[in-house]
Amino acid sequence: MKVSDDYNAKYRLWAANPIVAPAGKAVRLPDFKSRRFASHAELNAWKLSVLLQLARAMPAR
Amino acid sequence: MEVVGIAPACQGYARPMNDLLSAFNAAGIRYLLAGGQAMRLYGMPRFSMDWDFFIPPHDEENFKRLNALLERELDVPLVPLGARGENFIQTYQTRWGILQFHLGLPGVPRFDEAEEHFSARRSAASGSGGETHRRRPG
Repeated sequence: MKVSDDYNAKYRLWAANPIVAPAGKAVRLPDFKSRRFASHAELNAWKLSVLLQLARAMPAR
Repeated sequence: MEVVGIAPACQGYARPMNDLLSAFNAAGIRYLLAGGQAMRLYGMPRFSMDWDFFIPPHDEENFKRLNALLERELDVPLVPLGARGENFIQTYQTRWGILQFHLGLPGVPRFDEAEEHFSARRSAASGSGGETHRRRPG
């Protein structure tokens, strides 16, 4: 059986008890040039490649 | 990108984005905050590394104001939506973090309608029926 999150339940819990958390510190990723995308699919593919690149660059712990 | 939250320009931002958003408001820039940061402001924390702004796709004056305000941060200017959907999303790394400008959002009405909706909500919430930070194009 596939177990997945119940988003509606999550939203109900959040809505009943909203907590505005402070914004996290800005993440400074390795410099990249600005990019323009024609779709979210393109954006997500690029994001994935950046994340993979970052993961590979991370020293193993 | 999963679009699960959208919020109007409003108060309560944590620094350092506060300065940028105040500058947006002072310059009369039309935008809506979307994505994880909007959800955070609604009390639904969600991991997010960037700030997603929904902006009108063809408002030349708005692009002019944004580019003037962000001149020192953007290596190439923000441009309107192309005829074949080019420039739908524009991503920049800035001192405030990663800023993403969306000229449309899946599952969300076009900008004018979304702006209208949140302006009406804000007016109703404030009871003033007035202030909206809106600027009609041309």
